[in-house]
Amino acid sequence: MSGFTRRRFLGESSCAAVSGVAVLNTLVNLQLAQRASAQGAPSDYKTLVCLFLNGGNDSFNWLVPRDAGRHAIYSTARGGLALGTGSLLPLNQTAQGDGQLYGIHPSCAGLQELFNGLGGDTGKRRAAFIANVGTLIEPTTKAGFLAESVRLPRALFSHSDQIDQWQTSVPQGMSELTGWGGRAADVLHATANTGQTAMGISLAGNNLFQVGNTVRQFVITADGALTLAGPNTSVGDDPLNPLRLKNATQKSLIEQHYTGLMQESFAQLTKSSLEAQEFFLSQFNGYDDSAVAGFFPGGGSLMSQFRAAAKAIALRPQLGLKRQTIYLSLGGWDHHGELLTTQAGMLTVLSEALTGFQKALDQLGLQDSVVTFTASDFGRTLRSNGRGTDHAWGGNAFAMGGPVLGGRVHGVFPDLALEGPDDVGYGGRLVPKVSVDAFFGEMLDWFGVPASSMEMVLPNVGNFYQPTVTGRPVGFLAV
Amino acid sequence: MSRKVPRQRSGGTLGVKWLIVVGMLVTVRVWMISGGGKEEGGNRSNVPVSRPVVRPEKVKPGDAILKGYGKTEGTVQGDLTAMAEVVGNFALLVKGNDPLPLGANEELAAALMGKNAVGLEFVSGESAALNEKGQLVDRWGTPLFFHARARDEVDIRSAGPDRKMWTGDDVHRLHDGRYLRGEALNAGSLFEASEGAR
Repeated sequence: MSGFTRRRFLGESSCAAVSGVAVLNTLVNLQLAQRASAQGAPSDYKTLVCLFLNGGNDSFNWLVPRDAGRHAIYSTARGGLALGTGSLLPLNQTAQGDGQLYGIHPSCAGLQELFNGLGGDTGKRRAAFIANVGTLIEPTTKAGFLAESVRLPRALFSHSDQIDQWQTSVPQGMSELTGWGGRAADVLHATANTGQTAMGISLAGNNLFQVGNTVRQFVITADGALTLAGPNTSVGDDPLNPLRLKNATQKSLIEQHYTGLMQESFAQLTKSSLEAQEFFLSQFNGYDDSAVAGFFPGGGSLMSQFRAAAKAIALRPQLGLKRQTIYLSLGGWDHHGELLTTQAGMLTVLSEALTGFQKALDQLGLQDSVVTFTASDFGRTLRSNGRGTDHAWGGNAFAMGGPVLGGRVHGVFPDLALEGPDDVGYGGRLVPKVSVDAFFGEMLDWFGVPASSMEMVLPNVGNFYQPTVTGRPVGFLAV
Repeated sequence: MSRKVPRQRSGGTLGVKWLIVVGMLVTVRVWMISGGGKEEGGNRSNVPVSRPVVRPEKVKPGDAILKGYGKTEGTVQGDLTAMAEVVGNFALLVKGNDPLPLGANEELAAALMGKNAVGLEFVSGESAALNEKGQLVDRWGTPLFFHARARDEVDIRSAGPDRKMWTGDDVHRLHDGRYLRGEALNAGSLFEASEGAR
């Protein structure tokens, strides 16, 4: 083999590996595009809104069993952190619920109304809980966890890892991180949407949830998009204002033509991004939301995010988005040092913002085309560490919207006994009964991801249910 | 222009041969000492009796790092830094996806004492950092709190001299070696600020 050296072998095999990856990616994308085009463009508009509660919400003081027997178990487990039955706001489940009594945290009067029926109208039960949801690779029991006989999510009980896993829905980790919202956009965006606005709009900065293989996310602020010379710039009309001059200079730079391929590509990318931002901002500023402004009182961060989200949803036709995801976040739920007072304040903010948003959507007639859900790093230990709680696993999620089968607690509410059948030890760390794949898969089915593409969006879904065979796995959304 | 230098093979080959010969000699000697050459029922009266070599117990790496742990001449900050080094070095040695259990103190302590993927005993059960319940404790005997921000970013917190966690005299070492001070020490949330307070 004259002339075939080790160096040449390594060099050529590396090239082959690199080009192999590229070919594989292309094939996957072609396959996605083929399936999507076969599906055809949808005629309706739909939006999935994700509210991420960073830090790990203590959701077993958010949704609490209210019947005497289960409340006693809850009180024993939670000790000084237990909420009395008298302080809980009663949730009235429909006949299709799980037949148990529940109450919601006293700070959540708005969410109680959404659960029991807007304005007292039981025909408008907009909200439901999904009990004990969490990251899983495969169905897992306490026995399996203790015997280490099942594959467990990487770095359980760690903030960043669990946030990533809720957003990727791949708890075993990925070599290249993408989110399930982004992968859904890979499937849907090309056929469902037109125009230059991305399918994934974030009001909370860059996130993993909306990162796809081929799509980008579009980050806006509560005031709209960021531009170099937007109409709502705060620098005034003075043409000699230094900020305006700087913006004008930058804009002129990217409008030049460059001989270098890299510079030219960068300039074109920046230019198209700015054009998209300016287009969005012009639409955003041109939309009069005064009819629903009253649902968003005050100027809090979350309230402002939701008001902007409502506008972005109302603008779907102008933006050319028949399918849209929106990402918002509220941080600060890591209540190790103190739970009761801090969480009560935050739940007030949460409840008012979610309620205002849903009422605004109802007012705009958009309630049937939007599903909003909460996600959080993990649940928290049932047992107090003194005045707060520590990192755990399964927790309760909240979902609302016209398609939600409201007035019910879906899933299986866990046994809250310490060292009980659902506690994997050390103070009430509950093994999830509903996997993130089942939770997300149900919403993606509603959203229009074909069953045949579900495994591309949720690689572990087959471990929990067969999308092409079975119906919706949890049953919290109307078919 | 660089010039290729031919490899010096003869020296390396010779070295390998010597190593093999020495290795064989050592093997034969060990075999003889251990009585490997003894015939069944043979008379060994003229063979010198070999005595087992007594080697000192090897100090476990974690114990070496924690040598000054909890000593009066040290500080709690020094203790927490040593503990952080134990945890970091242990994770490097065990490797894998989940070298560290990131939940309870007891789980991490058990992993350090050998309940891990490779059965590595990194810290002995007699370590000054452990109590009788198998918990990792501070210099005042209170269990430490391990706060997992990420699988490779773990904060460590001591309850301080009042032995009560989440009070003003706690000492909280962040994963990067800084310490929480002032209001941050007992903020409403340890992971991101509580925006609900706005």
